[in-house]
Amino acid sequence: MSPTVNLGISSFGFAFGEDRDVATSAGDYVDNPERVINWGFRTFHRAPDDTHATQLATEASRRALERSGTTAAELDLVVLASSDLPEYSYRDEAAALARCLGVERTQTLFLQEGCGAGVHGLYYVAASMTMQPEINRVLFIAVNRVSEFHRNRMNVVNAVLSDAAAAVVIERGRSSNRWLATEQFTEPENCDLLRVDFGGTVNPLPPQGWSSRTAPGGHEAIRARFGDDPATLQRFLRNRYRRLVEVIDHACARAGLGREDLTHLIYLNDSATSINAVAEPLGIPLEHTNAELAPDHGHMGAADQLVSFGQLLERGELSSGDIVVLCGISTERWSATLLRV
Amino acid sequence: MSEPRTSHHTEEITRLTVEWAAEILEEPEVTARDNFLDLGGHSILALRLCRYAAERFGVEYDIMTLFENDLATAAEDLATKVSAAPSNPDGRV
Repeated sequence: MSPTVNLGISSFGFAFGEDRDVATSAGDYVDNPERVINWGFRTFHRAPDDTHATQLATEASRRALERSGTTAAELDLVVLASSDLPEYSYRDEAAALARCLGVERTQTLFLQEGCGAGVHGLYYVAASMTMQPEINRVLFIAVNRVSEFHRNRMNVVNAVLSDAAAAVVIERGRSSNRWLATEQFTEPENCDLLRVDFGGTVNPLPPQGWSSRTAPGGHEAIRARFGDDPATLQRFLRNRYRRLVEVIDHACARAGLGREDLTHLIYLNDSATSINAVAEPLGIPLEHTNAELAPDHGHMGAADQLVSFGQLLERGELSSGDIVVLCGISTERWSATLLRV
Repeated sequence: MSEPRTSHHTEEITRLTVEWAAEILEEPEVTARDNFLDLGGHSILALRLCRYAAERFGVEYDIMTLFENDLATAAEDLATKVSAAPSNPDGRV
């Protein structure tokens, strides 16, 4: 069981890049747009060239703070989870966000574990509030701003990558949207699968003429890793879903709940079939998931789950007492967070 | 003269592959010349197609073949596996 810590989300704020139509944009990114269109996404968000993660995160944060009536000075902790490249090397992006918000002499944390960081990042909020009783108000932000120089947003995974930020104010003693538990684990074997080969210390610069538009994508990475080993590929694909159910079971156990207590599931913004592959073993109907919201956003990296949770609340699709599981996968990291509405 | 047994197998497995893909992808217009990914297929649907094959033949599609070729090629590859499977010494479909 989790140590007793009573904290809940008091407000949400979102910031999205400009809406773009998938069907009319896919040809700009890939040579086989029909394949992308058939994934089922209608819209993705593309931030203007001069709008980066810090601006999206700042905009979402200001909205969340305003809605909860919280000033920057009242924050005791700022946690930023970013699932794409940072704007600069050798800079703390959480500090950059704190500066934009006018937050002074306050603890900050920057998470970079990929798309699941919007889910398991809540653990670090809860852990900090458990260990430091003086922390009463936290700003948690999950942002995804695709660097199109480094990545082709339409050929990494079977979802259109999208630019957005979701911010939440988390308060001690708040009984609604209450955090119950977070569980996560990593299986590191395939942690290189979606890496970009350039921009780090091994290969600081791409070769001349290299372009993300024509560079090998996620499918080629799968072929390179598993092409000669169909049995391992099968196991890898199956385990993606099995591990999700496993980590959700762990979170339920941590919260003293069972699968039957879960009323809603929010997975990353994937196809309805993939979302259902997670929901079905848990006995959660597809209507109680993010399947209907996903096609209008694309995959917003770490921001997916909090955007969906906030939007389901706004639409009145969640009721007091519902138990919602947020779950996701970074490359080889599975995570789940349980919240009681 | 009768046709070689494997060509019957391939024909039947191709028919089933197209039928299963149409059902799984909810796309009635599937043909053997279509590529699974181009039709909107992805990993979880490929695993479902593999399950259908395993339940029927005891062997599964090669997922990379399914991803990178047309359905006819994936079916042909499966037919080869069916014929070679030790649990299927008669090569029955």
